[in-house]
Parts: sequence; structure tokens; C-alpha cells
Amino acid sequence: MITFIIKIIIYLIFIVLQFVVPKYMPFNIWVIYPNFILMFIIYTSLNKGIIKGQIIGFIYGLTWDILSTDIFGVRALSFTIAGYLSGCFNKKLNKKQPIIQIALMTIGLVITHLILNVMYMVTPSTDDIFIQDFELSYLVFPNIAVNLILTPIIFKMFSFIDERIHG
Amino acid sequence: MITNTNKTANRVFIVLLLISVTLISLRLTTTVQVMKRLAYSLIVPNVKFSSHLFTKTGKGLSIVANMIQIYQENIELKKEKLMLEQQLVDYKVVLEENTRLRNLLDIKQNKNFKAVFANVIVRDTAQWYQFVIIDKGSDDGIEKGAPVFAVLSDKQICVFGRVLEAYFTTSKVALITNSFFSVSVQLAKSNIDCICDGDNDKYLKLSFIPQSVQLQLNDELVTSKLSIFDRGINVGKIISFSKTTSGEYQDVLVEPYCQSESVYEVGVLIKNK
Repeated sequence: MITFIIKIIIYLIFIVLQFVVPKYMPFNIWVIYPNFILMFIIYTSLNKGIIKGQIIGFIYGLTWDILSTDIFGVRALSFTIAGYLSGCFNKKLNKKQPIIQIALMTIGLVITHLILNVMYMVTPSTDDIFIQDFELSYLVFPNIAVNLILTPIIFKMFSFIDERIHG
Repeated sequence: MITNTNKTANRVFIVLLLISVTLISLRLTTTVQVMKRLAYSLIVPNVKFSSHLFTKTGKGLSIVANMIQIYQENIELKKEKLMLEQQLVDYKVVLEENTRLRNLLDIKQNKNFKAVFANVIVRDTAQWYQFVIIDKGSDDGIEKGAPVFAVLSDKQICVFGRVLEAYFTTSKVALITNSFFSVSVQLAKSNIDCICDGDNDKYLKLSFIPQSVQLQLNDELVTSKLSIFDRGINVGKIISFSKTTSGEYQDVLVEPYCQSESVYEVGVLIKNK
């Protein structure tokens, strides 16, 4: 029961971190704000295994879809795939290596953006024009770069918190 | 074991993919829309609450941070205020001391005195009108009985007392108000000689003023030629007088100038060897 509550709390923390915190930032940080949820999915896949990774990916993706006006289900799909692929490298790679973390994050980001863009191209009429513009714009690359730079640091933080919670 | 896990993972993956693709395909259908709204209504209150909590926490933290900042600023300002007040006090003390010393210097230059200047180091509150101790003594040439004067803020010098006991480095000065003290004085306007005596009180008694002399309040008294002080040094002013029905002299009370303000430095007249 306690584990379940902790998981709910962690889930809510990431939702808040991804969707609530940015609005309190002093400047427009769309471009530089890290994708904490994707990082957490990849971290979980790497450290907890492929099944947990893809389930968490699906849940967070679905939540993101519910909260956004994006194509419903597209993030659930992309995050599930990201979680699955990252999980494939569980126990095969040294997960504490920053370069591995960055590489997997790159794969996750590329898959996410690729699927989103493909979906936009297949079904161009979405409800949110801004998101569509953003996903197809050149701002994607700085956003990916910022995420990749921050990945090792945030993974370190996840690892620290994880050790504190699970010992 | 690993194979089984992989198989399970693959199955889960396929199921999740199918669900996702189904959701994407059927996103515009009523069923999916209803499910989405239902999920939304479950998630959003938590997000709203979290956002609200975050906002409140943020505001609270901001208030606390501001309070801490204000508190620290307050402490700094208080420290600064105290420092400035202390500096102001120091400045006033230095200014007063400077004025007094300048006055003393002027006297030293203007008058033909052989004077030793000393600081008052002791003044007993129980014997306020009787004596003080100064920080110069026989090593500086001060002898018993030497006249002592003070300088007022208006640069006027006035009789302060006489050295009662002289030690090597200090001297005890009997004040003008001490009952041991008496000095020959005269009315500044009429040159009538008389004697001024201390009474261990705030005021001096004036003796030997004939009944015939017309006195007025605030008449000034200065030392006479017969005194051990130079002639014309201020002593005080008359504050009351009464003619007695019997006898030759009037009863007169004098307020000494040296009691009108605090005296911290005095001059002692010594023999010019």
C-alpha cells in the first residue's frame, strides 16, 4: 500500500514538475525546459526493466495526451516505444555512464519527435496549432540539445532520490 | 528466465502499442472522448491541487524569503543606525572637547598666564559642590592653594576653585562653592570690594556689601585686585539680595558661573619661575 502511495506521489510530482512548474519560471522556457517525464521513463527502463519502463511510458504518455490538446494517444505511443527501447538495454549497458544515458535520451527524444511529426503529417488537423508548429519548427533542436546536456545531471538526481526511497 | 521476461515484455509492449494506436485511430469517437474526459476529470483535480499547493507554497516561500530579507535588512540598518548614533555621539564629544580646548588655547595665548591645563577626573556626587580631582599634580608645578579657573563655552574664564591638596600626578581642588573657599571679589560695575564664600551649596554668599550699595539682580561679580586670581576674572552673578533691618551689610546670594555648565578641563595658575 505504501509503495502504491509512493508511486502515486512520484507520478504527481512529475506531472507537477512537467506541467505546473514551468509557468512559474521567470521567462519563456519552452525551448530550454527539460522533458522530465521522458527522462524518468528512460531512467526507469534502464534501472527497473523493460516492462516497468514501457508501462510507465504508456501511463505518462496517456496523461500527457489527456492534459494536452495534442493528437490523443500519440505520446502514449511514443513514450511506450521509448520505454521499450530503453528497457532493451537494461543489464546490457553500464547505465551509470553519462554517454549511455545521453544516447538513450537521444533515442527517446528522436522517437518522440519523429512519431509526433509523422502523426502531424498523417493527420494534419489538430486542435493545438502552437504545438504542431513547435514540433515542426527549428526550435526542436535546441530543445533536444538542452535535454541532452541536462540528462546526466537529472539522472544523477533520480538515482540519488531512488536510493533514498528504495535503499 | 530471461526469455520469459522478454516474452512478457514484448506482449505488454504489443498490447500497449495496440491500445495507443487504437486511441489514436478512434480519438474522435464518442467512446474515446468520454474516456478521455473521464480520465481528465480524475487527473486534473490532482494537478489543480498540486498547482494550487505549489502556488501557495511559492507565495509562502516568497513571503518568508521577503520576511527574512526584510529582517536581515532591518538588522543591518539597526547596526548601521547604532554605528551612526555612536559616531554622532563621538562627533559631538570631540566637537565639545575641541571647543573647550580651543578656548583654553585662546586663553593661554591671550592672557599672560602661566597655566597648567588639566582634566577633571573625579567628581563625587555626594560632595558635588565641594571638590574635584584633576589629573595634574606637583610634577607639573601645581602647588597647594593655586587658583583654578574654568573656561565657559562663550570663551569667558571664571573662577573654579583652589588646589586644596597637590599630589605628584593629581590634585584635589576645592570648588568655589566649597565652604573652605573664599575669594576677594568686586562688583563689575561699581568696583566695590567684598568677599565671596562657598557654602557647600549651589550658591555663594557675598559678605561685606554695605547697606548703602544699590544692588540689582544679575549684577556681575569679578575677582578683585586683592584676590589670588588676576583681576577681572568672572565669578558669578547676583540672584538675590536683601537689606537687613539691623547691621551694616546686605545678605546677597550669588550664582557662580562655573556651576552653570559641565566643566571637564580646568586651568591651574602656577608661579612663573
